[in-house]
Amino acid sequence: MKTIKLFFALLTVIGFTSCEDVIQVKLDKGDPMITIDAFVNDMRSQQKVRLTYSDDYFSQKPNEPVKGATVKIKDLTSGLEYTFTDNNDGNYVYNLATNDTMARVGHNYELTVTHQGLVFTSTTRMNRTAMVDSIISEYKEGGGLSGMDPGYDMSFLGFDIPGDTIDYYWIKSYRNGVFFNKGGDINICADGAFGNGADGFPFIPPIAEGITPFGERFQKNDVCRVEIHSINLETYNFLIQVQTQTTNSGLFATSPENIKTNIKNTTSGKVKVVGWFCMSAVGFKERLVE
Amino acid sequence: MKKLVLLLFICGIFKANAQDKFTISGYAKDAKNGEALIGVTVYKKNSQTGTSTNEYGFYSLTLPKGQDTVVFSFVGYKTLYKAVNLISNQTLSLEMAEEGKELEEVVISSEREDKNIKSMEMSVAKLDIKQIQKMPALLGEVDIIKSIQLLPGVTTVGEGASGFNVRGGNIDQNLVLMDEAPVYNSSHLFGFFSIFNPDAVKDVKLIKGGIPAQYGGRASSVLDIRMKEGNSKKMEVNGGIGTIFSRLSIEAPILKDKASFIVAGRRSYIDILAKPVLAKQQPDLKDAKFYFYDLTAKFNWRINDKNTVFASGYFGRDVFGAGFKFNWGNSTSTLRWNHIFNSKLFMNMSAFYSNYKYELGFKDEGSSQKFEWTSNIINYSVKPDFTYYLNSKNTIRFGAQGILYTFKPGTAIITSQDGNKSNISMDYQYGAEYAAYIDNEQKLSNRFTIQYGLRWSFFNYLGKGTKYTYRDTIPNESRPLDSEEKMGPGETIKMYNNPEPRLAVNYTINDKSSIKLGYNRMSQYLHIVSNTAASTPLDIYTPVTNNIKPLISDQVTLGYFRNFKDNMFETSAEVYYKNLQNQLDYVDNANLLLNNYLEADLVQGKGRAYGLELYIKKAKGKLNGWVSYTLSKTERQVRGISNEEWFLSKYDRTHNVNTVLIYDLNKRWSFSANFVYQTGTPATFPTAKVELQGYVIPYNTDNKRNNYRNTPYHRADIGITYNFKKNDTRRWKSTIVLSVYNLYNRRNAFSIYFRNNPDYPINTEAVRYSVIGSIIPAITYNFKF
Repeated sequence: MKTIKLFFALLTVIGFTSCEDVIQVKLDKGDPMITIDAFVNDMRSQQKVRLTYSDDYFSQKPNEPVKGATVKIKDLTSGLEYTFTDNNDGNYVYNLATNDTMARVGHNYELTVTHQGLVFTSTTRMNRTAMVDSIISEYKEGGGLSGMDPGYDMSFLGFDIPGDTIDYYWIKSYRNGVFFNKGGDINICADGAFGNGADGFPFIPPIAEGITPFGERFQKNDVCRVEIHSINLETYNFLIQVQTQTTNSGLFATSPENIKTNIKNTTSGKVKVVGWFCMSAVGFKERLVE
Repeated sequence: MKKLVLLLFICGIFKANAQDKFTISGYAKDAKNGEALIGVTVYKKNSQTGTSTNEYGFYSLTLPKGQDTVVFSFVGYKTLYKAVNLISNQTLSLEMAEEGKELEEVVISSEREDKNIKSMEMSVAKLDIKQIQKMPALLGEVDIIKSIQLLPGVTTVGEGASGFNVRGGNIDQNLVLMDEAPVYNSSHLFGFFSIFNPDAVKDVKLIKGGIPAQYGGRASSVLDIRMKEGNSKKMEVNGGIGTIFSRLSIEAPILKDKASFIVAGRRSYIDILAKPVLAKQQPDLKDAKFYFYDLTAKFNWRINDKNTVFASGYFGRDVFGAGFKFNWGNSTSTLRWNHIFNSKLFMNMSAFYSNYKYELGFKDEGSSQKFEWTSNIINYSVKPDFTYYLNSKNTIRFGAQGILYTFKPGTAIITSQDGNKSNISMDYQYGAEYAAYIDNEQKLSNRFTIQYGLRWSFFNYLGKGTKYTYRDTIPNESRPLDSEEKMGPGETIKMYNNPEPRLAVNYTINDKSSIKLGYNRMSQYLHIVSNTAASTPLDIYTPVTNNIKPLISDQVTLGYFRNFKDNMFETSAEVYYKNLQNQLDYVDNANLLLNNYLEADLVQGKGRAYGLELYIKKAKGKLNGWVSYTLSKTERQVRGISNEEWFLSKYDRTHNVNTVLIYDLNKRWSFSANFVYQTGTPATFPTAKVELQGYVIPYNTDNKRNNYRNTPYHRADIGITYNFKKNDTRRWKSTIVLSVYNLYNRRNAFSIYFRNNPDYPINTEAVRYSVIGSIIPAITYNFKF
C-alpha cells in the first residue's frame, strides 16, 4: 500500500497544491488512564513491560511512568511463573537467559499487573514464526521528483510456514540498531501477503521491501536488521489500528477511533486501562551494507 | 395514506369526459440543431390549461373543440403562437428558434418564466449547460457535479471528494442517471473532475424532495442528466484545450431531420507533458501512467412520427500505474424506444447495461510474482414508462422497472515466484430489484394541483452465494460467525419489499406565489461500503442481504415560492425533515476490503436531517445568478458508537451560503464569480495520548464521535469569458475562458489530524490538511464550427 500512497502523494503534488500546516487547536483534557505496553518475545535479551499514564494530547513531554506495580507472566501450559523487576522508570524487566524456559512456541501465557490494589490481566498464545532467509540490497540513484537521497533499498527473502492455520507476522526493521518507529512503517502480514491465501508463499514485494521505509535508504557500512515476530490475529488487527490512527491523514482518512485493548481491569470497572499483551517468537538476521 | 391515494386516483379518472374535446400532440425541437427541447410550456392562450414537453420533447394537450391559439413558450426562445382548429385529434410538431440577442443565451431556467410557481416540482434545481459553462471552474474545467454543489442543500466534504451530499445524505444516496443508466462513480481523479463531458450534456436536473414515483432505488436525491442527441441539421464540432483536458465532440445528421449522432471525447494530458521530465528526473517512474479519459456517444433515429430510437453509450477510465496498476471507470449503454400509441399515450422503453469496474495490481519486476485484484458492479435493466395524457386535468404516469445486479466485490489472485496461483477472491453476489409505479398529476382547480402516486419496490438477494448467519456480540465488535449455508443459483436468500407513497401538492396563491408540499418515501437496496472521509475508487457496493437491511428514507418538504418584478426575481423558502432507517456504519477497525465476512463488521443505525433553504435567483438581465442560504442539521444514532447518543453526521453543515453571479458586459465579455461558505465538517479529536511500542497514539477518552469541527470552509472564484466572434456569419467561433479558483488563497481544512512532529517526535501537534492550498488560475480555449 505504501507505493500507492507515495504515488498518490506525488500525483497530488504535480496536479495540485495540497498542503499541510501545523495549527493551534484547543482540546479537552481526558482523565489519565493506565497504559500497559507488554510485547514480550523469545529473543535472548532483556524483555520489557512498560507502564505509563496517558496524558493530555498536547503535553510536550513523555507520559508519566507508573511505578511500584508488580508485573508477572505465567506460562499457563507449564504452570511456571516469571516476575519482572521494577526498574523504577515505568519499565519492568526480565533478562531472558540462553537456557531460559520462558517464551515457548505453542504455550499460553497470562499477564498480571497489580497496582494500588487494582489487578489487570490478559492472556495470549505464542505462535510459531518464519525465518529470514537472506537480506538483499540494491543501490538506487537519488533525485527525481520525490527528491530522495541515493542509497541502498534493502529487502529480505523469507517464506511463510505452510500449514492450515494462517500465520500472522510483524516484520520489524532496524538501521544501526535503531527501530523504524513511525506508525506508517508498521509492516505486518498474514501468511505471505495481506489477506489469506498466500500460505507457504515468499513474502510479497510490499512486505519484503517494506523493511526500508520511504525516504530511509541505507548507506554503506550501515547495519540492517530484520526481525519476523509471530503475532496472532488480534494483534494483527490491533497493529492495523495503530497504523491507521497514527497516519490518519489525507483524502482517504477514516473516522478516528480508539485503539482496542486486550487487557482487563478485573477489580473495578471504573479505572480505564488501555494496552496490549503479545508474546512473539522471532526469526532475525543482520547484514552490513557494503 | 394508500387508500386515499387510490381514492383520489379513481375520482381523477372517472371525472374525465372527453366527448367534446380533442387532443393536440407532438414534439418541440430546437430550430438550429434539431435537439428535442425539454420543458417547453405549451398552453392555451389566456388560460391556465397547459402542459410541458417531457424528457423527449413530447407534449400532449387536450382542449375543447373549436378554434383556439396554442402558445409555446421557452425562455431564450421566440414564443410561438399557433392557431388551431380542433375538430379532431391532431399532431403539431414544431421547431423553436432562439431569440436573436446573444445575451439572452444565458438563462438560468430555460422554462416558462413563472414555471417555478405553477409546476408541481419543488426542491428541484435545473442547470442550463450554457450557464454552467460560464461559471468559474476548478482549473477551468467545466464541471456538472461541481456546479451542483453550488445549489442550496447540496454540500461536499471537500475538494477531491467524489460525488455530493444532498440534505445530509451519503453520496450513494443519489441516483445519478446518465441517459437513464445509473452511474456508480461520477468522478475522475478521485473527485477533482466529474465524468460528464459538458459538450455532450443537454439537460441537468437535481431533485431533492417530492421525488415522483418513476424514480426510485436511492434514499436522498435524483440527478437526471440527459445527453444531447446530436445536431440533425448540420455538422457541428466543439472542442477545447484546457489545463487538464483536451476535448472534442462531433455531431452531425445521418439523415437530415431524421437521424443524427454525437461522439464526444476527452483525455487528460498531464502525463504526456510530464513524460520527458520524468524520464530524465525519475527513471523509476518513466513508465508511470496517469491519465483519464471518457468517450460519450449517442445515436438517434426518428423512424416515423410514432417511433424514435436512441442508442447511447459512455465509457470512461482513470488509469494510474508505475510498477503497479490502478484504474477504474464506468461503462454504460442505453437503448431507448419512444413510441406514440396515440395522441394521449406516450411510451419510453429503456434498456440499459452498466458496469463499474476497478483494478488494482502489483507486479514484481523480473519475476512472476504478482497480485491482481478486480471488482465490478454489473447491472442489466429494462424500464417501460408510460405517460397517459388523460385529459386537461389528469396526466397519469405509470411503468415498471427490473434490474439485475451482479456484484463482484473482489476477484483477487496472488501469483508466487514459481508461478503458483492462489485465489483469494470474494464470492459474487446477485440481486434482482423490481418496481412498479403509477402516479397522477391532477388539477383540482385553477389553484390547486396535486400529484399522488405509489411505487412498490422489491429486492431479491439471490444465490449462488453463501448465506452467513452471525451471532450477536458486544456493540462495536465484529460479530462472530454462527453458520454458513451454501445457496444454489437463483435461490432466494432474502427478499424485501417496500411500498413507497409519493405526494406533491401545489396551491397557487396568485400568478406570483404558491405554496408546495411534498412527501416521499424512498428505499435503497444497495449501500456503498466506505469509512473514509472522501470516497475512494476502491469502495465497494454491497446489496442488502439477510444481514443488511434496506435503507428507508421518509422526507417531508414544505415550500413557499414567490416571484418579483415580472418574474425577474425568483425566490423560495423550503423546510424539510428527513428520517432515515438502517443507515450503514462500521464497527471499530472494520475490515472493508476483500473480506468475505464483511457483514459482521457492519452496523445499521438511525439518521435524521432537517433544515431550511432560502433561495433568490435573478433569472434575466445582464446581471444574473443566485444566492442561497441553508441552515441544517444532520445526525445519526448507532448502537455501540459514540456512547449510543445522537452524534453529528460528517455531512452536517450548520450554515451554507452559495453565491453565483454572472455579468454579461457585451457580446464579447462576460464575467462570473462564486462565493461559498460552509460550516466546518464535524471531526473526532483526541483528548489524550497513549504510548505503546514507541508509538504515540491519539485517544478520545470520552469515546464521542465528531466532538469537534474543522475550521469553516469558504472560497471565492472568478471567471472571465472573452468571445472572439467578430460577426454572426462566421462559422468558426471561439472563446477563451480565464478562471481563478480560490481567489483569496485560503487554505481550507479538508481534515485536521494529529501526529508527532517528524523532527522532534516527542512533540505532538495538530495538522491542517488542505487539498488546495493556493490560488489556482487556469485558461481554457474553446472552439466551435
